[in-house]
Amino acid sequence: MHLVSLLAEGTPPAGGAETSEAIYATAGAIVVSILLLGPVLLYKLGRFPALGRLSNLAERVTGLPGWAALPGTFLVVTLLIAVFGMYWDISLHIDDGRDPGPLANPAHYFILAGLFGVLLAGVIGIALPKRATATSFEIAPGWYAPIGALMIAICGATSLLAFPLDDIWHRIFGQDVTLWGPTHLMLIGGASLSVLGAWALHVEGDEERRAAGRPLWRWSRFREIVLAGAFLVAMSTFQAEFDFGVPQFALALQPTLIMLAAGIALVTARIRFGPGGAVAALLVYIAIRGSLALAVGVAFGEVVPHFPPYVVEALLVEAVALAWLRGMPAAKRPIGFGALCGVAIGTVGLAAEWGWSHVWVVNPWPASLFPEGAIAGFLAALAGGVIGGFIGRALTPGVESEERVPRFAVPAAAALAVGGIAFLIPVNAGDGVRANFNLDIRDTGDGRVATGTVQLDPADAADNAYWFNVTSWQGGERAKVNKLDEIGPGTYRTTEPIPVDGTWKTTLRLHDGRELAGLPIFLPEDTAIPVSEVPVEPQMSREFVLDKDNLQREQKDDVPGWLTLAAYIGVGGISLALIGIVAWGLTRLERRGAGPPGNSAEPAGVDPAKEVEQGPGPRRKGSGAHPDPA
Amino acid sequence: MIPALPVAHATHVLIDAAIFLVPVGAVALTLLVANIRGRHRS
Repeated sequence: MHLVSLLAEGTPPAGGAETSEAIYATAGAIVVSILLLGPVLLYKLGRFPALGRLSNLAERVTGLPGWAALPGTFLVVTLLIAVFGMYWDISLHIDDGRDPGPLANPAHYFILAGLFGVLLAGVIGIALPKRATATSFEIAPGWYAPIGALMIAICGATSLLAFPLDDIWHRIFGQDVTLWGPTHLMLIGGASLSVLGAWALHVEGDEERRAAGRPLWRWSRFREIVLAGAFLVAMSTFQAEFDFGVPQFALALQPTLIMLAAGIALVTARIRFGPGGAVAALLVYIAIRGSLALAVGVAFGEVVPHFPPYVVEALLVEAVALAWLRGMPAAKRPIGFGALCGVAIGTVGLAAEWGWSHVWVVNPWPASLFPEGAIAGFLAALAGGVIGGFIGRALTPGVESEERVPRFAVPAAAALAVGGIAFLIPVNAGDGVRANFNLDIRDTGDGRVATGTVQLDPADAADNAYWFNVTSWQGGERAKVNKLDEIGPGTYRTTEPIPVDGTWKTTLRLHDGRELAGLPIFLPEDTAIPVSEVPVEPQMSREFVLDKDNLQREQKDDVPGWLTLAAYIGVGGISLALIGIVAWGLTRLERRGAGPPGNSAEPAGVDPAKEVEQGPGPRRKGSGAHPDPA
Repeated sequence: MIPALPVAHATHVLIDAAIFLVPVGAVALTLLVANIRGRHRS
């Protein structure tokens, strides 16, 4: 009943959820917490043996200890639910605008369920082990938390924390209709980094398996490849700002993020798995992202989430390994290997993605993006490769590193990645460029549309633009990006009718270097903000302003500067702390995670010479989980 | 007289925060109890 009344509201709220919605959400959280966490805690008290039986089943199927197999598998499933919700949610916001309320958006349920699942996966992983391992912590008497499970739980908690912070942020600053809102990034970051937690947990379990002398099963190998592909998906989620064709940040950030993700995830996969690891991870990535694009763009008919193919980058990583390592495990020289891969990815791989952007990206990368995009992309790939080397080394604790690299190499790479992104964030509105429109406005019966020409002043304002287009979004159907034809010096013509009616927000957008500007062609009245309609007129002259002013009309402009600074420091601090915790967990895994020495300590994955059983075999004891905890 | 808006905001924020505090708090509380019980036994 309440949901129906919310849906019936004329104007969706622009400054956070209604209190009644928050009450419903919280009540739901309490019920879900009791239903999901209750059994885990009861198990620990010896009153819910079913969880132990489930853990043993996971152990029999994977060959890994149940405390590693069950939470890791659960996490992959729950993250798939969350990532589907995320991409669907973004498409809904781009096509339809703000939600009538947080509970009136079906995608939010998938995200919430998925992120609750992340926390639950971590808690299960913490609760299951019955004895200490080399990397576990005794966080309470009888609670031996594997480092991977701790990482997952902390990531899940951080993502959950982002939900209330997001609503508070909206109430203070107004709704930030962009993926790259600070609390949105915190939410996505927690979920993304939890994949590393799952991978670390898998490695901890794998080292236990090795110590117990059990063979590696094919199913477990495939399971880890899924984790590697999921990691590439996770590292790519931050690009979603660009994937849907309505980015609100500098275009140079797109190659930067693609290169960073490729460097980190593909290098990690190759180090951990050995030959074929990068390609195997890529195949899983393409399967997941392809399915998401089909579900959101085709099945639901929303704006399509594009994605970079990474094919050339994956092949480059394999080629560098072949040429440079000559049969040696990459984990013996992970940082050097990562840096070399970064150079290859940041040059040849970047060129390939540049070409691909002209095949299947809404805003292709123009020649004028060179050299800015090339330099930023190269540095990001280099940083990503070194970070990938660090992660890969940590996830391969059974192989002793033989390389000597400065201790500051990895922190410097992280600083380079963060610094490069931060450098590209600030933009300006340019120097008072004006646009003079001559439009033919007609009613199609399905709303008014406009066609015609626009004359820029100065005429060369868009000559080397990164993008110059008419973007129409939030009109209740798929968003449109209309590229303009230049028919004379500084004069451009629309190539298709542009919607200027209803809830459509139609702006002329111009991006050139640090200039990221836009001007409204038509913006509807919005009483929730509140703002008046910006009407379209057959002849009109308007000046470009900061693009964000048109795309994020919900943002409040009367918030004290100190509050903004404090909020950014607070959310940024939480996010950096999360990254720090994950890095610390990986370091602990690297230093203490190795099982017994021997030939089987080679990279754990795609090595045909490795002893592999089809599994599952007979039930084995001694890995920690059993149905009747003492 | 208590100003209506801040109280409304504070209530809302508390309700919001429960989404995070309930599940994470339940885990933290369990670990705390386990630690206290363990210490008591030893």
